[in-house]
Amino acid sequence: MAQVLTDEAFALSSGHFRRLGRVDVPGYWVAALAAVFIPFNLATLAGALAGGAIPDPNRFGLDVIFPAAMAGLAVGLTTARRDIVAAGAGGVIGVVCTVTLGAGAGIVAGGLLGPAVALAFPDRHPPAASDPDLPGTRATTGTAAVTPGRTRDLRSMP
Amino acid sequence: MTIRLVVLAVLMWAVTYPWRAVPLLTPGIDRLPPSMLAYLRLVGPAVLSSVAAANVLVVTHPDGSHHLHFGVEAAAVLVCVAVVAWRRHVLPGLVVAVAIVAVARAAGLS
Repeated sequence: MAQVLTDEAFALSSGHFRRLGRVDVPGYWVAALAAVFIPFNLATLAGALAGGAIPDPNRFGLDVIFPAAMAGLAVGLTTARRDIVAAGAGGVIGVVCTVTLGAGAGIVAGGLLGPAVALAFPDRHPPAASDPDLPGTRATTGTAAVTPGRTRDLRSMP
Repeated sequence: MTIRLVVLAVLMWAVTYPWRAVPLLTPGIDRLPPSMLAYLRLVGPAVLSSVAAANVLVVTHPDGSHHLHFGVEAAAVLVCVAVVAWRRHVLPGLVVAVAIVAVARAAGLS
């Protein structure tokens, strides 16, 4: 599983798990392989073969896709106040530490310290709202597994 | 593709793979204290927003120094966040963000 565990696969699958209230291993493979790994590699191949035909991709704003996708996936993972605080704190800490310490250190600091800041806030989940499109829109935690051997309790997921 | 890139890819795999595999393979990681599980659950939104914010709000100058910069890219990402929160889907947000940046650059604003 770890071989195809990217940021995007993590965000899609963990949002899916939250919506279901349990870990769904086949769902993880769909998120990791069908939605990310295969399209990524096909697009990479297409870019390697035909990317030179595009004179300047930045002219079309394509360079903003990566940060916009990261931010959009973060939105999908925010279902409670602590999630929002963690995202906000992670962003602020990441920027400040990137400016002062460098790019790699900033991202690591945001990822490690953002959750610590969020834990200082009381946990309060909003009313669960069903949303079939976006992962992570339903605040369900700790639901027991329903398919032994294929699923695990959600509490086991980091 | 040069052989150096292949070596770099292998090195990146060797460095990143253990960080992904160890939490999946460690016995009893699902029995961590609730506070630790809560912390780990919050890492996802924190690191994703950190990556996004650092990518659009910090520019690197040729001398290697980093500076804060709020440009049309940052505004586009903020609009993307609003659209995703509104539409509950990532794709419309990406389309809007790309369109904003493309139009701004065509107009010479960025």
